[in-house]
Amino acid sequence: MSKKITVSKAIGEALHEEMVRDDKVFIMGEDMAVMGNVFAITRGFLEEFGPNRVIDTPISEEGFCGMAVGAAMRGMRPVVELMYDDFATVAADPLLNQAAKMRYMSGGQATVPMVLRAPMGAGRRNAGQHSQSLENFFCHFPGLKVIAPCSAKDAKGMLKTAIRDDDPVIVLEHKLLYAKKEEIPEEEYLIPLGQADVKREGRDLTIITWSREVNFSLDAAQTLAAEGIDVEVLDLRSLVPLDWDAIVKSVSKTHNAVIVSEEVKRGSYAGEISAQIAEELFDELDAPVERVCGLNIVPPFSPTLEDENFPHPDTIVKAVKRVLNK
Amino acid sequence: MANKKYSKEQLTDFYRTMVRIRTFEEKAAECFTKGMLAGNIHLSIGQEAAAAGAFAAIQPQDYFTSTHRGHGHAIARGMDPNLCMAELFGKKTGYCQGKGGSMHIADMKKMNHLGANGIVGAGQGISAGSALASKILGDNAVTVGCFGDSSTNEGTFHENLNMAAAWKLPVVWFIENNCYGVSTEIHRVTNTPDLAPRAAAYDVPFAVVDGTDAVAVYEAMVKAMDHARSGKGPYVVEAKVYRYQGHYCGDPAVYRPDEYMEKALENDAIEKMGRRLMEMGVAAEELEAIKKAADDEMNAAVQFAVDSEYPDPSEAVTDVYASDNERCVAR
Amino acid sequence: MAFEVLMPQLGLTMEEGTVSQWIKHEGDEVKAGDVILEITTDKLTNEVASEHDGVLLKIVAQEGEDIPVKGLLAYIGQPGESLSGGEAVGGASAPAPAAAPAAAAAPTAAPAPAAAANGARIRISPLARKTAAKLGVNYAGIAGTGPSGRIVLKDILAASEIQKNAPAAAPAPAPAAPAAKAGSLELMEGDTVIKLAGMRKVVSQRMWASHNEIPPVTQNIKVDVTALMKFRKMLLAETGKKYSVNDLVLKATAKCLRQHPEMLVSLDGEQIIQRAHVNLGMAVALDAGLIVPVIRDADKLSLDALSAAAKDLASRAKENKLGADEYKGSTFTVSNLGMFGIETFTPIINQPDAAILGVCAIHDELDLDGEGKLFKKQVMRLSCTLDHRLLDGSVVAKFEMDLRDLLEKPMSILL
Repeated sequence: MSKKITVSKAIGEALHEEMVRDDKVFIMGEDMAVMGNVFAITRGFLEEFGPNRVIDTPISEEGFCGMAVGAAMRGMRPVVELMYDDFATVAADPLLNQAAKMRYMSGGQATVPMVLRAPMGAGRRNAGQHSQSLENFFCHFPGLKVIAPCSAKDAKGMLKTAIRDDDPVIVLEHKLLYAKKEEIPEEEYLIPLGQADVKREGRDLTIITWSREVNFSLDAAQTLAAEGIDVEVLDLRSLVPLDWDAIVKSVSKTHNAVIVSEEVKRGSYAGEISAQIAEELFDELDAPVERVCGLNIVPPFSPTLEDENFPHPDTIVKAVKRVLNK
Repeated sequence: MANKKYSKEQLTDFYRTMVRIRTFEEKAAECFTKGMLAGNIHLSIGQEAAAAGAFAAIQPQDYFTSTHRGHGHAIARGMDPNLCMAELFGKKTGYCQGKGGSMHIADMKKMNHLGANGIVGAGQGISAGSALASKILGDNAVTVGCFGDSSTNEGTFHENLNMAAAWKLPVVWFIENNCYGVSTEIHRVTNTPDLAPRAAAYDVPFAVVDGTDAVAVYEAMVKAMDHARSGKGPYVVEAKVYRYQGHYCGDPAVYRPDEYMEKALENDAIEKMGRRLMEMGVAAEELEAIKKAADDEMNAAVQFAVDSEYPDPSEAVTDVYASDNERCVAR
Repeated sequence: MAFEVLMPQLGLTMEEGTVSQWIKHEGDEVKAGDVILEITTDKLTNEVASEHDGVLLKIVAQEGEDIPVKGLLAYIGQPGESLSGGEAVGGASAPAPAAAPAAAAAPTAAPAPAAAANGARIRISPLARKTAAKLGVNYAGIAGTGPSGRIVLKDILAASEIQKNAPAAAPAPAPAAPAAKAGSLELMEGDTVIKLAGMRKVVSQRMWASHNEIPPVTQNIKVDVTALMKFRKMLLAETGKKYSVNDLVLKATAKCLRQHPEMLVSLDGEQIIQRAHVNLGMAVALDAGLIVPVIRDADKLSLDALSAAAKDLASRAKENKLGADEYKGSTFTVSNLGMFGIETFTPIINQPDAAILGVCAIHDELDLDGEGKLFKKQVMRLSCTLDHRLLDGSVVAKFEMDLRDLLEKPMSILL
């Protein structure tokens, strides 16, 4: 049995199911309670779970992220929402110095089972401080797990797993996916972290990607198929842990790889994956790995400018052809 | 200040705790000077009364956060000096198996310790968050956040005190004001003579006490803990203390006027408590015996640390993640 | 049935040729013997004639492309004949995978070990290299179809097919050339790009290989040519024939080499070949590059004959009319920059020779005689580069001293 719902509704279902299942789970963030989130993800939660577990915070990102760390160390399972992942810079210390490191610094005594939901991504004409994709920022810090699901099904199944996970998990949710309606199973299910999904099988080249760029990559693959180029699309879904086995399997089959993300290209996680492929799969490669990312610029506002700053299907098509010299 | 009647035994307990803290710190400094341990250590000599008084008011079910100057909190809470010293040495037997060191000593399992922290002000969010957990769980525990004077100038002081006050969280913030942030005298960068009154801006009650008087600190903290435990929200206590050493062990503190240390030594908490006990009829030999016992105990702690093994290099990659650690560390 | 037009082998060391111009075009009728295209190769431009009557069905190798020897250039067959049927292209050598430009890169069968011993960098993908090793494919001569001409997996697989099917007849290849590494330099305003091809490419490869393989030593010796210059005038007066300084130097060199057979050696892997003949290579500068025609058994030729041979070779070289074997088989080479006023230089050895003689300009010099009086004389320097793997400085010094003595007593050149 399956049903068709939006990605945001799927996220709401995950939160709801986990809050019903475990009373240690609570949610906090800006406009989460009375308003029920700017994307209506938690509408009705306040009435159902009460103000202790559905908390509207002041605009104090560092403060409430720090509180989430403290609560998580006490065995709670806070699910915190930053209105935009860009605001993570304001809350850098609790996320990167506290949540990420507490377990290690304490010699394994602490667990910090918190989840940070961080809407991200370009395309909403939100300019420099509301449009970033900060995968590299989070993935850099050992101690954090980082996921970036694309589909409604993954968004729900992986968020549920993230809430149950004993480590701090950053969930990167692309804002332009929220309204997409997709089929998900009717019954309860979980999707493990660290398991990539082959969204399309192909022979000639592997596109490694995640989040919204999965959809663009699938569009590109279709265009390429019409020209006789058979591309595999690997949706990583989870960045840390990384499903390296899936990458090895796919790249060893196609011998060519393009990595697609909306990040600033310089220092991107896409570049990290590229480096790992170069290091460990050198002899499998028939061409250099190419990164297709945003530019090394500040996210612009004007549509004509912003559209330059994230990969579109045609940019991906061009990159694939470049790598294959077609 | 301490006008109530306290028994000899109660005051002797304060005295013993303070002597144990100072002895631990002196032994640690000696080891550091001899090059036996690496890194930096920040000593709390001169702040013993604050730790002894505050932790006497904290109940076993209560939680606390500590700071980079946190050895005294650990001893006052009743943690094992052997395991503390071993952590300073970076040994496998330390509280954090050598992964945290001086700035991160914590016994999270048995002592409700939420971590000593190397980031000034980080404990404000963590202690408030722990209090939020207590509120949600209804477990009647109070969380004490221990900070230094300089953390009151961090944004988190205001963000978290504001939220704790708005949500009536059971949290007490205990500020040990030794007047210096590394080399910067607090009044050069802060406009108010005291720090705790800032709490009034959030309608949070506060107290400012002599941090060289363990009894005064104890009494202020008892009141604060009762307030927080009764569901009325946070409370801030500021204890005026002295930092005998520089910021870190080995810092000659040339930036400090001579009068600072003259006043500090006039007000030495251990001397004062010793005189008071002798006035109450405690023999000098008894006090000497306490010092001797502390000396033996801390020598043994050093010996324990010296005799302990370093962690195996393979341990470098453990404990980063609670689950799927190997894969998450591999790439 | 369609016939393949293949890149001819026009000299022993030829590995590939460049299609310079198609004379016939697709659909043109051709008769056996008709010239169908021109190729630039190994210092020469050659015409390729059809061996069959029919129609030029398909041009596979485009103008400007480098095609290995025996590589496919075109198909000739009957009008309307299809090439897509597998049988249609069945020729003696391997069929190209498809009639696409990529197929033009069909590599030669080259069973000899990859001659990249000189460190030539070949652009090849990691996977292609690994696969080549597994299949035993020598990729030295393969033109890659990947970006920037990189050899990629499918090139190796295609080469493997061809090498399996082809008779193992290809000659041992000459040292592999430094791989074309195009596109790495930034262009500045006004720059133009010319493909490295034909003679320039050969010179580039040869010089590069020689310079990289050989530990060279250049030794300069000063020769008093006052007598030689007088002798030349005397010959003109007596015989009416005008010999160039170069003629006299060639003659003296040939004679001196006969007396110094130790100079006439070649290194061949683990063995040294003692050359029997004094075959003098003679460097000739052309607009397009450099060519070294060879005067065979120069020591057996009279000054007259030698002079005539030198003139003939030089003029035909300039007209691009040398036969393929006329610039092969040298055992020693002379390079003369004297006419350009060069005082000394470090010539690069023309492999497989063991040494090369550079001839420099003649100029006046003041000297002191036995009694301390100033006198004027004419001098010329000889710059001899030796392959120190084969020859030592003192050995060559003796040769140079004897050559100097010969030139200083010019009558002895002819004796």
